[in-house]
Amino acid sequence: MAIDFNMKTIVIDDMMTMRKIITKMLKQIGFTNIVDADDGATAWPMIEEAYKNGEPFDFIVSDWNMPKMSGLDLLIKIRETDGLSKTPFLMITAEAEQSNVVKVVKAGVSNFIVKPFKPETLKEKIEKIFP
Amino acid sequence: MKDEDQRYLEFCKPFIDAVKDLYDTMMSTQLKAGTPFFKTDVKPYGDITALMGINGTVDKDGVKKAFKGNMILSWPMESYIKSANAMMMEEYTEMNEEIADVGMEISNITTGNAKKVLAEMGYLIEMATPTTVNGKDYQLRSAGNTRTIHIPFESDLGTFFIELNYED
Repeated sequence: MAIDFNMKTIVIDDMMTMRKIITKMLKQIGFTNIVDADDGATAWPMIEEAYKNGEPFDFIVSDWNMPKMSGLDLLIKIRETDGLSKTPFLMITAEAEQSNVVKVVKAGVSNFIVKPFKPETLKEKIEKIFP
Repeated sequence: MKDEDQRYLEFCKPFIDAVKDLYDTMMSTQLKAGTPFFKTDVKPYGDITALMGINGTVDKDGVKKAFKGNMILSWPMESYIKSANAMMMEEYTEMNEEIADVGMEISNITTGNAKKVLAEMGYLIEMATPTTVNGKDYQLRSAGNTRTIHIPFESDLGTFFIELNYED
């Protein structure tokens, strides 16, 4: 499964700064089809709607700490939902403690990245998801 | 130096390392940290100030006690805009909506990374949500027996400082 740079991608972060930085980095890597959302709670109906319309998101890039619905809660919801459960999910977090890593791995994350990071690191993490 | 003062400085180091790593990784900028000192007077803050609560518990020599405090990052406007541009790969010349939460994100990442190291030292921090204050001529006061450590930084992007308020 090589990277299809036209895959439908959603970037979710409550901070506009990080949404813009991640979107820019993804574009630098080659991604062309990116939308964003400012919280897990905003993203979930977009993800559901896209699936119902037959144009599901192919890749989810989400921050962990968000005020309404965390990235972890969104990941759990997605993994529990028929049709969406296999969607590649990259978690972004500022908290690198081992206990956190265990939580997201248990929840079925495809890969995770700890802030701060460079575009090259983001690319490496994505390449591991789509080898 | 008193043991207590040494302990406060030990508490600061992970924040200094984290913000230096952030500037290096996301802004390709080497930060030079000045000598930390205990603040004894009221100094003016910069034009943009980000605050984050750092409450938690500390386990020292088998005794667990609560601590509370906050981390303040404060930039002069020019230095804030330069830092935001470097982080976001932009060329803004003035403050705007697009870069308004850069300070909070820097605060978030710095605390998140410091938290991991502090946990290894026995300090368990509950991450809070950062906030920012924009403007001049304001004061931020901390209650009671809080000690404030001030750490100045400089780089090609200008100056800024971190203040850590800590009480246990």
